[in-house]
Amino acid sequence: MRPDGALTGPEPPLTTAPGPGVPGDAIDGLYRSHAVGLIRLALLLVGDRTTAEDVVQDSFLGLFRGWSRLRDPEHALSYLRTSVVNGCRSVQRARRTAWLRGQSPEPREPEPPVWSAEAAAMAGESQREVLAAVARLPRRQREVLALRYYAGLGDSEIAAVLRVSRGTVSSTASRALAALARQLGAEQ
Amino acid sequence: MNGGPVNGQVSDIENRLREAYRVAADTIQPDGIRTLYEPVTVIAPGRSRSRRPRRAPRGRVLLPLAAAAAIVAIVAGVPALLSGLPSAAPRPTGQAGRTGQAPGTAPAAARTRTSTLAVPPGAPPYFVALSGGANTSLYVYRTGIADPLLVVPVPHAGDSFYAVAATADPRTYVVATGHAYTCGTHLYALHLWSGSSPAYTPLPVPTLPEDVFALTVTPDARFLGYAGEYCDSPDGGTGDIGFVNLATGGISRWTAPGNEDIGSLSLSANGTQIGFVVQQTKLYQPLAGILPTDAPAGTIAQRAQVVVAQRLVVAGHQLTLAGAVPDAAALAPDGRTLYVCGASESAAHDPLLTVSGGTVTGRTALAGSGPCVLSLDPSGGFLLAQTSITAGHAAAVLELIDLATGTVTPLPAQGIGAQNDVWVTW
Repeated sequence: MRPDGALTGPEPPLTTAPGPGVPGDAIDGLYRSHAVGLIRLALLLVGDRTTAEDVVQDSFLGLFRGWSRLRDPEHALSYLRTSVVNGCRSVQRARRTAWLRGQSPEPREPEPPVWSAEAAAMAGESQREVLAAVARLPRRQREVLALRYYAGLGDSEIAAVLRVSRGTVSSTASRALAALARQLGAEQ
Repeated sequence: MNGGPVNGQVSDIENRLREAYRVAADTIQPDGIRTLYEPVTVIAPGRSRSRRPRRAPRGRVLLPLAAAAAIVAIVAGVPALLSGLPSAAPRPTGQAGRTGQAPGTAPAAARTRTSTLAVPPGAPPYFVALSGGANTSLYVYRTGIADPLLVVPVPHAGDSFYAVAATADPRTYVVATGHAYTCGTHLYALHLWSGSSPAYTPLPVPTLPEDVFALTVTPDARFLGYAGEYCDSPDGGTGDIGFVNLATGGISRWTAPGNEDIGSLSLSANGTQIGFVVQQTKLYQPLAGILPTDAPAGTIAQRAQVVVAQRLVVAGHQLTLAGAVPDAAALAPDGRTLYVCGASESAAHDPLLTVSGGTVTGRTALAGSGPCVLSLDPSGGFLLAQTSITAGHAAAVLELIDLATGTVTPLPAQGIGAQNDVWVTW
């Protein structure tokens, strides 16, 4: 399933020059309105603020370069969400590859925890337990949970972002909640 | 979320999850983020820590062990399997209830709310469902009665049901189970009404080194098909379809690199073909297809015939679903007809196509919209379809479709939630 606003066609050459007719004000407006939410989403997926901001910046850069190929500018936010999720996957894949090659001390499992010193200072024990349990879930389950319970998207919107069916979204969420229930129940 | 004994726990988890996400997300404040396109310096995390040696991928160790175990299990398990599974045992007839015939199985709650609906003659007397957050229980329904007849627990505490498939004997099902934090799937035959309690018999198949998402079995329980995602799959997932000859233990596999979203399996009665749905691959749009089980090993893209796709893959060789995403498929016992339903973003009713010989021979609309689930009874005469409707909140809709007459009967079923991981099968 592809969102209506998905970019189509081959990837353009890497350039910092905007394509013809790129409405810079529109992209700036999107950034002002949605950057914080997208960075927060990325933070929940990759676990650290610096990388989260990098991912979101890259997504806006991609939107900037590909604006002319965007079928419907009204769906730019949908494109950005998909781009952010894909960017987070790329980061995690790179981390995993680096670890497999012995270039990184990060273990493959669990994934880097969705936690930071700032968040740790603000949160209670319960929140830390929940996020630690989330960090042990498979990648797609983490994505579905973050999109559903942080971003507040419906299953149809999540399906569009992840490009899977709504059935897959609901079954993935169900598996994730079951795993969390068992994990957190065992800790109590 | 509704129905099922774990819903209170799931709701609590959902609330804790929202709160934890909020707290973590609030560490990012609008006044602290970079401006757009501001150059950044990326610092590799953990640079100062010591290097850790590479671990051997889990599957490289498990697979040889699994192969060795398979040989032992196949030799030792065939007689037990054949005695444990039915050989097309006759289905119970009449309306005599079986309530209470499975002591040890949790009785269904709230029988006082039971409502009964007339069902077409010849319809299968029972269907089962996995529903609820944790999938730790299997619900057995009598067709036409809203409340579950039985609630069957998982064989081992801490596990979940991953999938269930029905044989021709409504007393016997095949289930896939596993643990959330231990990748791998166990396959069992589940015998209801087999004595004092439901009995599980391990199938002569080694623990599968993957998480199974879908399951199918021929009516005579000679062949089994499954779909899942390899434990040692690189990020992005490697899905596969497996085919097991339960008499010999032989397993054939076809892979789908980069995709873990294969499901809605169904076997032809003689086990020569598997119907399936792929939600997304790098090669195909979402599609429903048929895979011959004698195909040599390879990728699903190489070996399967595409029947219905979201968009045309190869012009003239398959059908589309009017923009809907193929979501579920059911292969008729003769292996020639495929029923396909799709999730539509715009329509209120999921389309249901009957495809035979490369052409659409029937087209109808289901009562609700996606996601949809299909299950064809072993005789091929009745189709069970599950969709959902939104009227204030999402609710599941079950329909019984008599394929001979076209009669559609809505089925009541308490505890099946629209947003849950639902499996329904005869």
